[in-house]
Amino acid sequence: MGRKKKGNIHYGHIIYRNLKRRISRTFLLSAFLFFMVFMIFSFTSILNSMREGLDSTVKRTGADILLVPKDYFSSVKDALFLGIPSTVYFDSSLEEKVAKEEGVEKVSSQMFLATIYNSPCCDEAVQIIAYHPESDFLIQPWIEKQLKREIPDGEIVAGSKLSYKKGDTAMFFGKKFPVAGKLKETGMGYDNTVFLNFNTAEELLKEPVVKNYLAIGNKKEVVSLITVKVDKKADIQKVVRALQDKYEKDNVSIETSGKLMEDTRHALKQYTTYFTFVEIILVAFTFESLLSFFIITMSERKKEYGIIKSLGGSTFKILSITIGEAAAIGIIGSLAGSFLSILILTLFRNFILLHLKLPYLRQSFSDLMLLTVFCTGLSVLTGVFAAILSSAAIQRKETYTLIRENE
Amino acid sequence: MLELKDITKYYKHSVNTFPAVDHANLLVKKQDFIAVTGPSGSGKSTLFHIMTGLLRPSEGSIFLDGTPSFLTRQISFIMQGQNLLTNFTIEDNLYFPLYLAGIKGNYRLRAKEVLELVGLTNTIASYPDRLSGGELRRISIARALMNNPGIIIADEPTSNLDTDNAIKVMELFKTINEEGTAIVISTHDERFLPYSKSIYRMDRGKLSLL
Repeated sequence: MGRKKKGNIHYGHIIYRNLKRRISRTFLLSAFLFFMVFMIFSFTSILNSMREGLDSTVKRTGADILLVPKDYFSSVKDALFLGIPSTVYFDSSLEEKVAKEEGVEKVSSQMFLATIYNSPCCDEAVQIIAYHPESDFLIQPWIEKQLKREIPDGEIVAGSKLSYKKGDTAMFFGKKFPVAGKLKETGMGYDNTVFLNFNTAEELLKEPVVKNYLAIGNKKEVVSLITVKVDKKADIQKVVRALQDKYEKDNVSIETSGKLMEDTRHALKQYTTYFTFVEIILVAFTFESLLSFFIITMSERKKEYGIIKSLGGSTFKILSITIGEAAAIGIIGSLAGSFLSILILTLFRNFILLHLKLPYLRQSFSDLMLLTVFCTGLSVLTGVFAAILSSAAIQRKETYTLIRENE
Repeated sequence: MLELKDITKYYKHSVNTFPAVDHANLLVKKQDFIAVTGPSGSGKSTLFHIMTGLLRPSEGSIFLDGTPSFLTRQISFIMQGQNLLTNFTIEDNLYFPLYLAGIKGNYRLRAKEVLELVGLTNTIASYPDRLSGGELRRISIARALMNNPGIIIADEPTSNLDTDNAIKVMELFKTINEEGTAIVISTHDERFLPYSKSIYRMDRGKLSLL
């Protein structure tokens, strides 16, 4: 602590010595706060990741209205959110009809194709999405921004979680495709997706494996999803209702894109409520435990405080030492808890993603720092408040009583 | 000069109130060596804590150099029994009175001087739990000297010490007193009364000069 050379003593040194010489007490008190911070940090990280994933999906889905094959709304949602491969289709002629409806500004379509898992025909089990670069207003601007060009016919672009790199060759349904580029992480199903244009998809549909094994193989003029952008002046709900009245008999579900997120938003809200409740219980439990522990140790330390008072120490000085110790314990517990949480969320990322069905589990460095600061503040406040409350009774007592009580 | 005027301290025991110190008067002048004797429970410790300002009297006044309030720094108090801070080395323990008084600077020279005086320079880096009872008592005296106080008040400084160590402690007080510091001690061991220049007796809270 640099004190030996100076030949004096300072506040930090007193706190350090008190914590070091009572290492088991320090460890036990820190452990309470460590556990609290570990849980809060982990919960909040997971919730933030879910929120980021949701926001990213909302932002990238970008359409006001989605048309999907009837009863396959959840398959499309899983494909977009989680990248779970699915093959769904319906008549593409609907695209032209919808484009002519009142209030509709833009229309485009996509085709979803799931590769075959564990088959010699395909490198990986992935979701393939085909789109029209000339009319698409969702995927194309995003891909063009990163690729600086359109996807050439016969080539693919890979999502961030796939193993392909730019320049590799991928094989799907027995056909080889050069990889034109790799996209940045989005936090949604697009990370597990391969993108290609409709011209390339048409060629793929002609492959014998697709024709013989996938129902879509024998279909012509089909799409999986029609995306609609509504005119700024039009009321989205009114357009939806008009489209539903007209086209739902054609075995198609017509919903706003908000509806796509509704379940996820609801689940997120529920998780947030549960986690907040658990966090409150956790903080209350930690506070109560610390308070009890501090009261017990305060009682043991009466003579120590009496000695300090007899040497000229004020009540404020003793309180400041107690607060300093509690704050140091809070910082130790909080930093250890935050560090372990980051370590576990990093090491077991895939396990957590799989079991919690999360599309995304990553936070930026600044977010992690912010969360660490928040947890440290909470931990320090919990410790300090417990220390102040527990020492209140002692502060009121006269030195003589403090010294004599434990004799 | 420390003056206690008509000091009374009442304690409550169940429903009864009794005076632990009953209208005590005492004058401590420069170079005084006062011993207060009396049986256990006679009120000596209560009186000593009142003298140092650590306990408020129920009645009466205390004056230091004619003013009703005084700084603890001018009076060093040696409590009864082991009164070193066990989490700190002897060096740190010696530094505490200066740190708490807000005195800045290098305390090491003064620490070496007082340790030399008590003959324990080799203990500077030790923790209190490594020292004997006699050594601890002498370290307490060394710590009391750190502030260069005008008065040292020691509550039962020879209790629980063997004769050799008790004599060492009393000899130390004699040396300090000869150098100009007033000493006030309480003791129920009459063997050490001859070290003092004046002797008071405390009995059921009443203080009287012998």
